[in-house]
Amino acid sequence: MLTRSDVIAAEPKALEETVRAIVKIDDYIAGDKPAWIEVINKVTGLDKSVAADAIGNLYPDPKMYRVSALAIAVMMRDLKYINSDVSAAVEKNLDYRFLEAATGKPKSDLGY
Amino acid sequence: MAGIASLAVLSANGVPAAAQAEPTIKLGYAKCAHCTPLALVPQYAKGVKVEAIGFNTGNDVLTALVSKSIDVGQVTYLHYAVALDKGFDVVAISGQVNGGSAILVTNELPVTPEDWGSLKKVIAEYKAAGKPFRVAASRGNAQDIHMRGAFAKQGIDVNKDVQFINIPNPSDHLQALRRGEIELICTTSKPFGTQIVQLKAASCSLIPMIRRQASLQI
Repeated sequence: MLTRSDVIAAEPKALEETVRAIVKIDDYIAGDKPAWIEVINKVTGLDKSVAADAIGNLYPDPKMYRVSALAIAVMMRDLKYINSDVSAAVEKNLDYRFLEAATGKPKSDLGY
Repeated sequence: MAGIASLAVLSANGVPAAAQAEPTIKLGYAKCAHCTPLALVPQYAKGVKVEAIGFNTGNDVLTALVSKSIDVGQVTYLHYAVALDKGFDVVAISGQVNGGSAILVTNELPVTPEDWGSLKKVIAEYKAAGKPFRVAASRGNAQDIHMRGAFAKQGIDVNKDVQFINIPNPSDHLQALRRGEIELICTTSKPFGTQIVQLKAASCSLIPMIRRQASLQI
């Protein structure tokens, strides 16, 4: 989930509550796959049997994986999809404070 | 009149209604199976009014975010890297879901599910016989990046050990398998990967081996 620095400056509490809701939803769908299938079917129109098979390969997870993000950024540059080395920005712009507040966990437990 | 108008927007406890109103966050998500749970955010959010807006693709979500049409958007790590490369002001605040990539091998090949060794053996045999082992994906999408990362982790060089074939439209992946144009495909599991398996165009899934190796949705 991405936002912008102006939104963080203007509505930090609202962002925290938004992230808290996302964490709750992840907990909910992780424990209730039929409910997830219903949502997929309703929003996308995807057949329920396809949705049921597809979610076997989906993992609700609010963590932000710093190492994977950096690896992907490097690979994107190697493949020439991006022009510059964005590693420092990728790391700097991962802001864990909302996730820490929503989960009560330190960033070291949240993918940092 | 000005006094009457002001009174009209006071609530029962004398606090202006506007001051009591919850802040609104506009949240964008792509209407794919991965992202659909975000349609539920308005129901689960407390102390904030969330307006969930469905877009056709993650690219559309990113465009809306950087143009300030929305406040929060769900995209992939690929979009995150691209946005930073372009100098856009984006900050990651949470993940939501992982997975969604399917690596599938044609039915005829002796590759065992969840066994990278069997895949590497077949690739080596193709190489020894001078035959290209053709690996397809939609170049640059999340599944392509996912596959390249998973292959690199297994010591398979996509540029040297196999022949990469770009099939831009994932809806063409099934037919490429059926026509025998490729040996392996990395595609999105919903709906294309799932449909390929359900239609028996490929039988061996390497999905369990790549799950959680890379988190692609942020």
